[in-house]
Amino acid sequence: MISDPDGLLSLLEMHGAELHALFARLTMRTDVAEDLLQELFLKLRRSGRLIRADNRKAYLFRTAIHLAFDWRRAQRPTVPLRTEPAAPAESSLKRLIDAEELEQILDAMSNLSELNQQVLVLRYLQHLEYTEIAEQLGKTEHQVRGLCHKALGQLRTILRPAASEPQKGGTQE
Amino acid sequence: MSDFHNDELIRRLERLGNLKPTPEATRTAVERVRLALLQARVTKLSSRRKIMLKRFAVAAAVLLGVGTLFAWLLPSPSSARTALAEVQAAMQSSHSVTCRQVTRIKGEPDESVRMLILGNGLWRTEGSDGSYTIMDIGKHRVLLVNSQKREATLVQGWNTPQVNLYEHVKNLPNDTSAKALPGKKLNGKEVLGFVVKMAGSGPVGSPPDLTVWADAKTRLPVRIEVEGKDDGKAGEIIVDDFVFDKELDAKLFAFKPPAGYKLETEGVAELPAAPADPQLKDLVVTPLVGIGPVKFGMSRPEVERLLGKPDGVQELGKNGYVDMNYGSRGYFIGVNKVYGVAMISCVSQVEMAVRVRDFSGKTDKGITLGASTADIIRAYGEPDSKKTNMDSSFLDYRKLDAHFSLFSDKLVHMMFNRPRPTK
Repeated sequence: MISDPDGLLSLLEMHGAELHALFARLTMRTDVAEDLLQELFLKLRRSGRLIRADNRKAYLFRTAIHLAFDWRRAQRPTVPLRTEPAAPAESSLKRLIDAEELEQILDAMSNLSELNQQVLVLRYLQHLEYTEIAEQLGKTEHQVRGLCHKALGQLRTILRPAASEPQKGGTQE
Repeated sequence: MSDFHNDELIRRLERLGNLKPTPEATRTAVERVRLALLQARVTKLSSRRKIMLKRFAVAAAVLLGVGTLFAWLLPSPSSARTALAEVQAAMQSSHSVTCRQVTRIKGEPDESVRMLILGNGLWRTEGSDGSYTIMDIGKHRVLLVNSQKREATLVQGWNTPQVNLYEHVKNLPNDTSAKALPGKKLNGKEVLGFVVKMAGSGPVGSPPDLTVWADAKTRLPVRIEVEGKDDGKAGEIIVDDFVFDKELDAKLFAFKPPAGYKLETEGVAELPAAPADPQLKDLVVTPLVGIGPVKFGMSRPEVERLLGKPDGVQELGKNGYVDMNYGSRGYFIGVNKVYGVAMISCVSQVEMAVRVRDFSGKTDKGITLGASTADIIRAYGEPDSKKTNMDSSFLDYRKLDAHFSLFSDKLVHMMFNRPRPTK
């Protein structure tokens, strides 16, 4: 007997790996990614809102992105992501610097509007085409291109002082 | 770097997009969620089912102004006004009650359900989408029919107090709290008003006050209003369109889904007797090890050989996962086709939708159901995660893969997962 009244198990089979990777990218921590993946699905089960969503996949990813940035806002990650050895020759120092650069981008993205976060994540982290993003967000392709351009501009603005000014006292928390 | 250009930004974003967790980490994460979902399904109902059953609970409580369906709907024990008792007395003479319940949540479309109650303990709610739910209080069973998916679920051994809603009204003592409101006209009728205070609290918080409007002549309710919050959003529930003593077709209460519907059965009708073997009583659960003689990783036949026949076995999901129901002993064991025993869940009745016996065993560090947060922390140290929601708390110990759920600071559920594979 197969029992999956909410369709959550099917969604987990279809998108679980992709969502785990997305959480790992947005948190830079696989342990947190695992926790957030569980939290996402349990939250969806509790709320019952997924059942009413027109586009369940879009709702799933939207909620996931929201959850990940909520986590980022709540705490700064400390342990770098353990990833596939894509570049085995890289030194530990370079990996640390790379990780720090990526953290900087993610922290800056936390300050964007939810819509701008969605657009950038779907476009550059999930590698979706503009048409696919448009479908997920219920917008036209033209609007999505515009949003993407605007979001990049805002991100650049947020990053500018952080990149150009020396770090002030205290830790970034 | 003094400034970022779009190219640099895009390069970094794409680098983020190229990060991948290891396949083993992903497998572990997905498996963990799968177990959590399956476990949640065992102890709690799916969202849709909860929604369907919530209609019962809310409608019943609202209809009566007092209710004992769930703990949080219990009435205040303080004294009542005679006028309300008269309204309730008027309801006694009816053999059926039907009404409409409209739920209005800010920002969402109104949801309307119709409720039909017979004096013999049979209730039915009908949703606007054609789905319906039938509950037989006396036989502890519920039939949930989803017309959109053409599916039905029969839940046996449903955990309901033995309350016949109709009889309950008839025998209500006159000691509920009811504050009279100034009378008014409602749809041209003179009505009497009361505010009924409900006491108690539960997983969804304290129940709100009810405003009951009753026909001044017949003293039967004509409208009941409740204000409250649903998932943080303000809303109200209105029950009206009452019809008393209408003859209802018995077929409406038949525990048989329409032809062609897929029927799933959950729970057991009667709890088997507790095992006589003292070795199988008061088992000890050790995180990452197992429960009593059963260890994580054992196969289903091994579990059955060591613990005896379960009350029931249910296949869940598409991956050969079975849930071995030992609810009559207070625990459930999840067995994966590949990994063997993957989850052990020790439960109490308060947490379960179906009838079980409370787990009478303990953990390796002496934690039993009813333990407090402080007890658990004393035994296992500070948890990796501690969350609270209303009156519920959840403590997670990642290294032990142990999860404790408490309600009103009393442990009601413990869940233990198989050890994670070494990375």
